[in-house]
Amino acid sequence: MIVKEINGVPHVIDSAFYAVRRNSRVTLTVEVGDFQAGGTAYEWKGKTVTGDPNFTDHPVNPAKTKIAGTIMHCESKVLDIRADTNRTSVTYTLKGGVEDQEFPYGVQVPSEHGLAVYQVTFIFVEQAT
Amino acid sequence: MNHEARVGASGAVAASLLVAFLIPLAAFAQDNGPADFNTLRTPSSPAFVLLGVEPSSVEKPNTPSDFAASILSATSNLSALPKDYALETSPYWLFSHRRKSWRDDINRNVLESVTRTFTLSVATAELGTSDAPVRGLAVSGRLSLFSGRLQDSSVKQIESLENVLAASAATDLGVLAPVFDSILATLLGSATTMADSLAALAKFDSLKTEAITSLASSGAIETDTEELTQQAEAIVMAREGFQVDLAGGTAWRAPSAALDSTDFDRFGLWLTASYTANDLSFIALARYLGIDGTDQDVLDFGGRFIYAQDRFALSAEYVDRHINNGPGDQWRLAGVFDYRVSRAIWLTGTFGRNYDDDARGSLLAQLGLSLNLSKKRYAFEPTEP
Repeated sequence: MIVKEINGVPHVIDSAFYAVRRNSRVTLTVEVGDFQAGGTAYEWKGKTVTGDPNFTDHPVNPAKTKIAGTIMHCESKVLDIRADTNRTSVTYTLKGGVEDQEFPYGVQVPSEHGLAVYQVTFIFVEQAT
Repeated sequence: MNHEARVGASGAVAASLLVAFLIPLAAFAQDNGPADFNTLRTPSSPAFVLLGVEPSSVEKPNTPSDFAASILSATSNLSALPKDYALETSPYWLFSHRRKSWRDDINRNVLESVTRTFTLSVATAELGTSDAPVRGLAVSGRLSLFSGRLQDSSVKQIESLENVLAASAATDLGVLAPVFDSILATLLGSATTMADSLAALAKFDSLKTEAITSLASSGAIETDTEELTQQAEAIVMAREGFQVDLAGGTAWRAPSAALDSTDFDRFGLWLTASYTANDLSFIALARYLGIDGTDQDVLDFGGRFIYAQDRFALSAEYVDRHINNGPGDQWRLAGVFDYRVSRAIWLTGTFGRNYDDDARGSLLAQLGLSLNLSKKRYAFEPTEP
């Protein structure tokens, strides 16, 4: 994981493998924590899906569609709306693969009402039984 | 002049009015006479009020280690009292709450309200002279037993902001994803083992960072955060409904500026209860003050009712001061009418009875115009102590 300020905005950049079966039906849940405001979009197989404003058990691949060997890029933008804290956090949860897995991230924005960007790529790798 | 009563057309404004803390910090120290309504409200930092100081800088640690470091550094490892030191911290907010969405804070039960609003304040100040230095120390706590609920207008503002953020992320991905895919195809294409793949992934993160930096510099992806920040600033996290704020604090004096030389000086307790709904709001409050060396503890209590519309507001307030073993109660009852003549000009009328009925001028009958030149439509100024 890399945390880097780009144009004054902290970016959390990471990538991870997620083990799936050949035709697993993978769902994505994105939770913006620490009482902050955030929205997420992801891109999978050339199609960008915008969150409402995030995702809860959202199916990434249609039923009976191969997901192994594909890649999903997620981006979450979080704005600090709390006077009490400058912490931001995003937890990505993938389900439906070999096992459910959480990917928690967090970063503190440098000033009140600051923005944080989370850029996480998931690579779906096939794991035989 | 009553700046509160003129505030507002809506419950949002009335709620903002009730949660604003406009207390001059020296008000508590200047306890020679009956207080105005605003000065009796539960202060945000009672320790500062008890000492009668307005710190130029207040330390607000973000983590438990920051908190400990601040205390130890200021007190030379707990061996001395610092000269001018102010610290304010909310234990709940020292820790991350990854599983808590802002929606979890729309409503709060009593436990959530207490934990999320509890604030500890510590302040020290030099109260003596250069020849006879006396270090003052005050410690206080503040919390809300009931926090009401986040206003619907605030909820809508945040929802709107989140949709903007999601759309902005989608726009970024439209540019970034093809670049990332290209990089990954190259890196993973040559990986034959799991170790190769993991190494490729680590390298991908670096290349991804470079790509984002480069695309941000070229303007290919949006990095101007000013508009988003302005939207966040515009959000008013106002709460409405039943709210109860409680605070208490104690102050000590230390003639030799050493921790073991402190003597009790004074203590204070505050209670403010309010209810806001639509155009109506009601606030009741009480303050108890005990000062060492006197047997005349002071209890102030009062209430205010406000009805606010777009162009006018009506309010009535009652404040009573009771002193143990002292003279009889002193009280004030006033009605205030505010009418918005134009966007920045308000006509204000105050009628009623002022505190001391023996004193000349105890009958209140004032009429005046006031200017509101603030950038914000409903801005209000601190009431004079």
